[in-house]
Order: sequence, then C-alpha cells, then structure tokens
Amino acid sequence: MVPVNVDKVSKACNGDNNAFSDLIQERKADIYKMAYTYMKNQEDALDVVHDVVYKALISMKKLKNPEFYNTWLTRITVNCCINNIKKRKKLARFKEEQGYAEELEQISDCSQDNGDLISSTDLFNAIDKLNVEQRTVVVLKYYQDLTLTQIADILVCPLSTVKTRLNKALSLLRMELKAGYNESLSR
Amino acid sequence: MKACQDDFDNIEVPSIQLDMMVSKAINEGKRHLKIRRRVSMSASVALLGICILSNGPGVCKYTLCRLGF
Repeated sequence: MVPVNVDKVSKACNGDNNAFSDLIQERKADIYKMAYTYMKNQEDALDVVHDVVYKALISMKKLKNPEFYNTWLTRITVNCCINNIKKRKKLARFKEEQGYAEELEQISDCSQDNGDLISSTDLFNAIDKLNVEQRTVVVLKYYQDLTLTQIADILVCPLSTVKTRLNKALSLLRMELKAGYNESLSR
Repeated sequence: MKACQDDFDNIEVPSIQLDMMVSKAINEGKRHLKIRRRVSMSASVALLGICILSNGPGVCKYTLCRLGF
C-alpha cells in the first residue's frame, strides 16, 4: 500500500482538488482491484470506483486525522462494495453469469500451470461462497495484506470479532476446498 | 493464501476506463460541492432577509441605511 502523504491529505482536506486528484491517482488501482474482488466484473467494479471517489471527495473535510487516510479510503471502498452488492442483489447471480470460463482464461493468461489454475479458481469460488462480513475480512487480510488491528479499525468493530470472523471464514474455506478436492478425486 | 495475493496482483486494471471513471466522479463531486455551497449561502442570505423584514419597517429601513442603501 502507498504510504500516506500527510501534507497532500491536509491540502485535500482544505479543499485543494489537485491534491485530491493526486491522492486518488495513487490509490485508484488498489481501489479497483479491491472492488473487483467483491463485484467480480469490470463494469460493477468501475461503478464502485466512481462511488468511492465521489464519496471521498464530498466527505474529505470530515477526515479529522490525515494519517488515517488509507484506512478511511479502504473503509469507504468496503462500504461501497457492500452497498452495491446489497443494492443490486447480484451476489447469487454472479456465480452463474460470470462462469468459470472468464476466470480460467484470465488465470491462464498469466501462464500458470494447470494445477495452480484449478486451485486458484477453486479458492476464488470458495471465497465467493462466504458471507459478506467473512469475505471482507479475508479480502482485507490476504488480498490487501492488512493487520488484524487495521482491519478492526476499518470495519469499526472489536479485534476479537475480526479474529472470530477470520477463523470461521478459514474453516469454511478449508471445508469447501476439501469437498471440492474429494469431488475431483471421485470423478 | 499466497494464491489470494497472486490473484489480487493479477487483476487486470482497465487504465483508460478507470481514468475516465475517476475524472467523471471528481467532476460530479466538484459540482455537488459547488451546489452545496450555493444552497448554504442562499439559505443564509434568505434567513437574514427574513429576520430583517420580520422586525418591521423601522428596523428594515435602519438596516438598509446601515448597509449603504
């Protein structure tokens, strides 16, 4: 993650739009990737990016401590993703519509071998089956590489809750992947 | 969980669309802030006007004189 430029954040808080643009340019790829892990398609991920930038610009003055800019922006991103998922109720439809073909194509483009490809797709699908809260913790922990304390700050919940969600998510993922593995063996 | 990080890094970013979306959002945000500022200014002016007028013609005349009208 890009380190926070406190001066620039302070300028943006005081209404400097150029400073705000620079800050967003630094983090836009991160925001998009995070949105994509939730939404699983480009259009919706871009919509989330739009919402995040818009909300961040409007509420920039509400950011009291510039040091927490990254946490604040991540929180906005997570909230926008969750709101979009709730609003459009696409969560169930994504699994059918997106299919595995696109993911397989994308992963194979990265020249991975077949074994990696299958495990990666399985993991992606297994994460999809988690509920939004558990998925958020997994995404922030393993995709964004944040600490549990940072995740607790972002989600505004106690550290113990984050730990519980992560443990539940991991045990569900283990079960899901085990089931998938057994299924592939029996074929 | 290394696969997670790899998946995340391998997500393709559509730079052109992303830039367009970001600039669109920034423009919309600026417009929103401008409208918000105008509305709050208008509301303040309207409130001041109502206060002056509701105090009767004497106070109104006095205030207008003080303001240089």
